[in-house]
Amino acid sequence: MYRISYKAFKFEAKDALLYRIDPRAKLFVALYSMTISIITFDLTTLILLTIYLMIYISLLGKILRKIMRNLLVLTPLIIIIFLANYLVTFNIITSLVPAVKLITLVLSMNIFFLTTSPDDFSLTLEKLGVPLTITLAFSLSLRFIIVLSKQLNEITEAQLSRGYTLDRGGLIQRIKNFIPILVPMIVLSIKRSIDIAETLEVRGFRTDVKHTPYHDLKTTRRDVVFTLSSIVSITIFYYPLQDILSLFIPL
Amino acid sequence: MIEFRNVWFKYDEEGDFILRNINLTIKRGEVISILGDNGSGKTTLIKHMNGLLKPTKGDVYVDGENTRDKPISELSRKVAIVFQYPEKMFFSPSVEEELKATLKNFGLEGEELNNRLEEILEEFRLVDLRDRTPFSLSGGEQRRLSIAIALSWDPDYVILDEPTTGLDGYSRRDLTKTIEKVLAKNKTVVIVTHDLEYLFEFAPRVILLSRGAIVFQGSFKELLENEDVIMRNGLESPKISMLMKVVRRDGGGCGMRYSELLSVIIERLGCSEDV
Ligand SMILES: Nc1ncnc2c1ncn2[C@@H]1O[C@H](COP(=O)(O)OP(=O)(O)OP(=O)(O)O)[C@@H](O)[C@H]1O
Ligand SMILES: [Mg+2]
Repeated sequence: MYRISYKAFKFEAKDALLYRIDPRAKLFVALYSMTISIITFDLTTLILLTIYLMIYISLLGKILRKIMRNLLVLTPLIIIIFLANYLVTFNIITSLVPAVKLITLVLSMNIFFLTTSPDDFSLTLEKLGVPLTITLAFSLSLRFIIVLSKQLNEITEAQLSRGYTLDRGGLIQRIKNFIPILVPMIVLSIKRSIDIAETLEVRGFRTDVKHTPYHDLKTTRRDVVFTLSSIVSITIFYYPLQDILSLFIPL
Repeated sequence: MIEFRNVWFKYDEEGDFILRNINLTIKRGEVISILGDNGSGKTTLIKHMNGLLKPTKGDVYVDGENTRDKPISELSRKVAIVFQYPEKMFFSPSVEEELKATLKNFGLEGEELNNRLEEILEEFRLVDLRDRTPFSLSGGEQRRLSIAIALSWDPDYVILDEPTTGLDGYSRRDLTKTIEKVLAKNKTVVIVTHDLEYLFEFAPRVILLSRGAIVFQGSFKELLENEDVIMRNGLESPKISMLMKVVRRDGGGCGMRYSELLSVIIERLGCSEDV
């Protein structure tokens, strides 16, 4: 099928706690969880952490299905990582560690990425001191992934409807076959960016003055409770930490 | 004949059905209009006619052949669709090249191709524009070019998705003439539109969609008589239909086309045709 799904990129707010939490809190928890995944080398811990994160995400975010789909796409990579390590170490356990680590990393990242709208995303960056021109470019391009894939579908449909076929001819011809898709893609994208620039200008958008976000981020007590309990619960799974600590601090 | 048999369709597995139990037959040589408010599924419906979309449940047949069994390239030879935003399909440096590319897609070559090209340029008043890049044309000109492209390989069914939006008077009349020419060759024209006013040119059979289901099917006349169906489905009752009502109320037997109405009024007023 020629159709690509843009649903994977589409942000859909669900009725779940994670969507209502201050994105900065989510980002912090996600980064913490990623750090834990990176510094853990114990397979049992990693597997337990994976299971915990899955439960955590499905209860608080209702996004397990989406993440599973993302993981499915990553399966080949996970297998390659495992095999590459196995060929070097000939040890199944140590080769599984980096593979499972990738899974926990993806799970951790998605605590933030899958539950934060492009707007909140750029707002978070802005609050962290990233310049407005960069955050704007960032949120626009995030948003346009969907627009672009939609556009790609529409262009392909229009071309197919006038007798165009992709799989025709030799190598050179096959490369040429992409022109009817590529040219409209580029032309429309340039046109769109001019439109956006004009729209921003017409609406008095400036980057040289401090801008006030339409809806601001607010940290509430709920966010604090969320952050603390997430950090504590993730740390509990990281019990080998105690082992490391005991090396330095004689108990 | 294009036939929809119990067609259900959804884009995503998890999503709602966008088309619900569509049963529809479109005959050779007829003009038919598909109406419905925004998001009712009109574009989705027509994309089934050349196999761009396949039904989730049910089947679509084009001249007796199931669209599941035929590649799009073969179906589109018979069924041409002109989409809402024609600028999405241009990729050539000139209008002429754009037309040539399509004719090549359908296997035309050499002299045959050139003859056909000249014919089309002439017919669609594109001769003066032949060296312009398609992107620099006005919206109306782009539409004209895209219709020219769709008719260039002489398909049996021509499907137009909202062909009148953004067209000026000239281009509308051009469009009408083009459609009439296509119909004269015993071909089928499907017009997707919100523009009831425009349909007076043809008084087609109408299909009214609402949230993916056919809620009304009948002649244009029957539709206009059902004022509440019109109002309920986001359409606008044409001013001229009021006039028709008045004419008909006091015994004027007349059809639904402008030309027919006009002749009744002229007769009634007792004046000559060249007022
Ligand atoms: N590629 C797609 N993926 C998912 N949903 C889609 C897609 N295209 C259309 N839809 C949805 O299907 C429904 C019907 O859309 P469709 O474009 O067929 O409506 P329409 O009757 O042509 O509307 P309009 O009058 O605005 O052109 C809408 O709810 C739309 O959001
Ligand atoms: Mg449409």
